[in-house]
Amino acid sequence: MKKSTLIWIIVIAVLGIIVVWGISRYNAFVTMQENVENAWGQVENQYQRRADLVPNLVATVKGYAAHEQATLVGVMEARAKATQMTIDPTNATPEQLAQYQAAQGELSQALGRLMAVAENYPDLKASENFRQLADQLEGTENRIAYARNLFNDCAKEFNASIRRFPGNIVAGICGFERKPYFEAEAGAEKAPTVEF
Amino acid sequence: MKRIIISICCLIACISMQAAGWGIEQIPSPKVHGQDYYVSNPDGVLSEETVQQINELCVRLNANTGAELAVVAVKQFDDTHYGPHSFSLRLFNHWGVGSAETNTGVLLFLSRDSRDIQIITGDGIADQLTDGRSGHILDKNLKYLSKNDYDKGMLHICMDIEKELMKDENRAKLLLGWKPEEAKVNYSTIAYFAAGFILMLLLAWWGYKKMQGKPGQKKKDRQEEAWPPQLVTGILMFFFPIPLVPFYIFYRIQCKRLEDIPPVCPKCGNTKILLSKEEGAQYLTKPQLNDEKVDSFQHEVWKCSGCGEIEIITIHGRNHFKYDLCPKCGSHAMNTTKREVISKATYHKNGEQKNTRECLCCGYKDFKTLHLKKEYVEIREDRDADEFWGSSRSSSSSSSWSSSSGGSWGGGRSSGGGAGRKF
Repeated sequence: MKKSTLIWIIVIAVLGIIVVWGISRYNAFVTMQENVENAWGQVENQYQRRADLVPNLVATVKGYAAHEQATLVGVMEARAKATQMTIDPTNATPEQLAQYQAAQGELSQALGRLMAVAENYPDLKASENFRQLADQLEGTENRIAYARNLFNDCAKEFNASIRRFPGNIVAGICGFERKPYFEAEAGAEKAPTVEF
Repeated sequence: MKRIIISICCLIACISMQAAGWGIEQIPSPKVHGQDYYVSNPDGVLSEETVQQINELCVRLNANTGAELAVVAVKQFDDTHYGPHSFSLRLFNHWGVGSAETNTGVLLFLSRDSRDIQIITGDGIADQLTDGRSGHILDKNLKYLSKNDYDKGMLHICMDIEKELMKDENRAKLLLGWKPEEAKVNYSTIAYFAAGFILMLLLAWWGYKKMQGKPGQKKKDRQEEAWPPQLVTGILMFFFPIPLVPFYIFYRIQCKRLEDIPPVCPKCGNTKILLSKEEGAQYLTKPQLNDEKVDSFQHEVWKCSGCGEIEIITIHGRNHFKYDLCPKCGSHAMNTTKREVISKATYHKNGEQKNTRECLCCGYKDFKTLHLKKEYVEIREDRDADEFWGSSRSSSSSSSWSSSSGGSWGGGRSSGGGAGRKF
């Protein structure tokens, strides 16, 4: 066995190992990215679910509190704005996510005002329909919070992976970019609830 | 002694942790006792009778609808990081309540001192037991809980949940379920296997060619050149054992056949003949004959049929590693007869060992001193404490400790449905 042959074998073997490792990292990144996008889909689902509740809620409140036009209209407008805004998760920037979050936040605030208004109408509060809708709303807010948590976890895992060395080399070559996070909103820890 | 101390520390830790509130991992899963146990009542908030009644209800519910209703009643949960909804949701997902395919699990969670009652519904049951209906059920029974009648309150809530799920339209949907996704054929694995197989074929062909060798090449040289592809083929065999083991055996048989090609004398070009043991013995030295006797080395004596040139090839015998070289007679027949440890190796210094060696041929004896390496301290987690407590405390995290009579949750998930109240 000539020395040069042996050296060639070693070189090829080392290159082979590097390539195999690179492929495995790429696949891991792809899996994590899919998880992030899946988690994003869940978040959008829950936001949509909330948006779907709103017309029913507004109609119920209107039945008891027709004078609260301003609040009701405000809610419907905020809902329209929130449903119009969509993000493509594959290349979302932090600014886009912040805008999305802001639009949804406005809807949250409008709903909060609506619920506060409902406090003044005991008939409304006693109505079975309203109570169930309020529960649905609170349930949806809880689901939104949980989905956002899961999204942040997936995004964190992905971001950490593509930034760690030596994986960041593979990430750089294949064009993986950091995913944005959901920032905590001031006062968002308390979902709009109604005290019965 | 160490075990006892660690166990006492764990006990103190557990008690103090309970004072702060139950963590998600600490709440004991009722499934440890068996598959038909659904109620976790570690603080005794509910009476034994109530626990039994609720258990029967849950078993009945599971039989009729396939839904898993988990009931937990604690004095206080650990609320430093999570509110009641987040905590019970994470507990739901930690245990995996409900079947993994249909996700029809429900968790009812009571925290007495913080006055929280929470229902968490799995993704597959959220349409039958909606958030609104959950809230309605809780509202109906809040009166019992506010009067501190936890037994009646919890029992009635469970009964209402059962009533809701047993309604015809709900029950039908629950029992429907859906089939799990069919396993997709993994094309990438097939591609890997095919690539590996082709690579191995190429390597085998290369090795075979090397074994054939050029005319005039000695067998030893041929084997030397052939070992890299043979080695890589052997390694590949570990990755793809099933198709490649028979192939590899076939390949080795082919190589063996090639080995029988007689080598050729480099000087005159005639074939060489392998001499028999008796004929070849005349060409071997005394030490070499000794080696053959004790089987530390074997020798092949080749004679050229043309010019009569003699070539001796040395091969390792069976006892090659057992016998050392004797300094006196030159044969490899030094046997280590006695091994004596003079000083043991400690964490701080090496040890010493004295070996007595004796030559089997000439009887020469000598001593060899060996150094024993320092011992290294291994830091391992002490699992003894967990084992000791696992059986008596039946913690939910030690799922491997559930004996053969233990059961398990179905592995369902929730994304946060349900409702909660303060009573």
